Amino acid sequence: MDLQSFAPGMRRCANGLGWAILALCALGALAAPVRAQNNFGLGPLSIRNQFPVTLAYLTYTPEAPATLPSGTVQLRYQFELTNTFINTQSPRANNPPVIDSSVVSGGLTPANFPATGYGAYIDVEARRHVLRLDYGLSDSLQAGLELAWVSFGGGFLDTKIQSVERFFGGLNKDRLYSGIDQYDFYVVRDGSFLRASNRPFSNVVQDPVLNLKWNLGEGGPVLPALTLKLSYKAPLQAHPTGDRALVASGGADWGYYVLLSKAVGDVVGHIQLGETHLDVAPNTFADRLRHRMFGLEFRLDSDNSFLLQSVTQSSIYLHTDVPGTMDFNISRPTDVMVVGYKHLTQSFLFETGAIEDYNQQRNESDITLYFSLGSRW
Amino acid sequence: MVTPTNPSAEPRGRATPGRPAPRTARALRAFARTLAAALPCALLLATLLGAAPQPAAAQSSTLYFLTVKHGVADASGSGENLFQTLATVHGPVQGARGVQTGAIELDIYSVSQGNAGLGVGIEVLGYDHAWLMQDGLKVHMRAKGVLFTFKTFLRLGNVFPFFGAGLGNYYVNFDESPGGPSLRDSPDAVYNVRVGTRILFGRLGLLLEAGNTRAQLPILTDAGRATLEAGGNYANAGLSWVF
Repeated sequence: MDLQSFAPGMRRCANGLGWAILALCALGALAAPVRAQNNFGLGPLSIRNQFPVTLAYLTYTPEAPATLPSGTVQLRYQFELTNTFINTQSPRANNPPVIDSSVVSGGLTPANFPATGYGAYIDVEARRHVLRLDYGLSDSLQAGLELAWVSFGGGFLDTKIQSVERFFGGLNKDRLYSGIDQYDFYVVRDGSFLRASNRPFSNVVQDPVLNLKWNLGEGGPVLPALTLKLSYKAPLQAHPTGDRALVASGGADWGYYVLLSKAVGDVVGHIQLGETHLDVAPNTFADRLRHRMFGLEFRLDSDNSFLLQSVTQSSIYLHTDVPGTMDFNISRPTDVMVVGYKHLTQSFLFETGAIEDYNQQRNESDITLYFSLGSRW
Repeated sequence: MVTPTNPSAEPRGRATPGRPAPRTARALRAFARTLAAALPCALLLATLLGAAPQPAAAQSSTLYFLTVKHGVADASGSGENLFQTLATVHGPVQGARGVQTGAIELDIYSVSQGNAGLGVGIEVLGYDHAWLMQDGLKVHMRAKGVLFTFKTFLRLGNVFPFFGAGLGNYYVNFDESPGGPSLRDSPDAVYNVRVGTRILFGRLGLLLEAGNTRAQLPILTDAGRATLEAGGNYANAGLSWVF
């Protein structure tokens, strides 16, 4: 048989049958009996990107598409612990000059990094305490205020992370050229420091974030629930200095996000997309971050869910061509996997989980652990 | 370096006496297309045969399918010009253009609405393939992807024809050797559509599907800027465990 003469006819047949199956499936789904359906679930795990460079700016936080009932108040406390190690000048990176523990102990200067482009040496364990207050303005409109305090230091997770990474055969060998539980936070662009700190600090307040969430529909047997969310970071100071400049940019950032969720039997599928606009100094960082999240929520019962979600974020670093190497391209998007558990009743909320990066190139944190407690009245 | 040649002038799949017919790029591409094209016919046949008694697994309201899949993808599509760009310097690609893919997928179907319903699936896939250009340049691409797909399906006995659409992530390691550029990057946006069917045999299931993934990535090759397609048209077959 001449496959080449056979193929075009079969392709036309395939196209026709494909569309026929699509139409049948759509008609079948639309004709399915309507029944009450909770498309919201309990919502995805609600934790923002923790990469130390982005912490100073607004970014997307996955969020339940459901809004609070009218007149309901929710107060929530969240603790987040994140370990990050990045060394673009690692002896393994083929990107001179080299930075190892002996160089770090003598203090880093811009001369320790390439004269052009970005360079980073980030050995940070960040603790973040978040207070969030939300209020149901109506049954479909919710306003919220979020305030967080951040500590940067050496922490205690380095050896544990190395043990776990060794166990799974994925040890980040760059860590072997660095001290254990040290704190150093340096980011350079074109020979000038954008971040430079090696003195730990505790509980520095970030800029507050205002949120507005509007549920446009609860969906049905076919359509998903749809919610829009707007966020705005209001600067407390226009030009923060010292430690505060590391965790609060002083800029007015804003973002918009689309939250979709669809119940499929005992599972809820979540898709969220959005964009955050950052008020950054020229020629330092990207002024726009793009986000997408998809995840599965396994409903254990009406109050408990196990969640698995993937969150993608474009890089905070400006895109530059890095010809000829695969060892340093920090302007690419990053993907993280978030797993966790969520418990929500009419008056109480508990959530815990972990974030692990699965696709990054020296532009994402290694691991985050967190828990959240909340109350409604 | 070789003189630029027409990239479409690939060797034809003629048999030489005394030797088996060469598996040329064109013949293999045609075979992949034929496989993809034959799939909907198999779906229709399976659908017509779907009046068989339902297995026990199909009685519950939520079905989980854990599937191991294998298939072919052409790693090309509208806007993709990687191999045309490389051909201007290195001559046309030798051998088959397509790649063989492997994947694991978790699908969840809600079947409580009579003969139709919705499903959602998450899939981890990957491939590792090297192409040889006419002047000996080796183009090596390793891709991994995570796809998240909403599906709508019919329930016809133990047969579930479906259509799905969704998004995802891809990350690609690309290098040219000897001496060419090497990079690791991710497309900004990844979209995916598919059509297929599942057929249940008790706790086991058969999956047949075809679709298209758009996962384009601008890259800098030694022959100039080009657009790489990590996805493209694909056809998969798989075995499922249903619970």
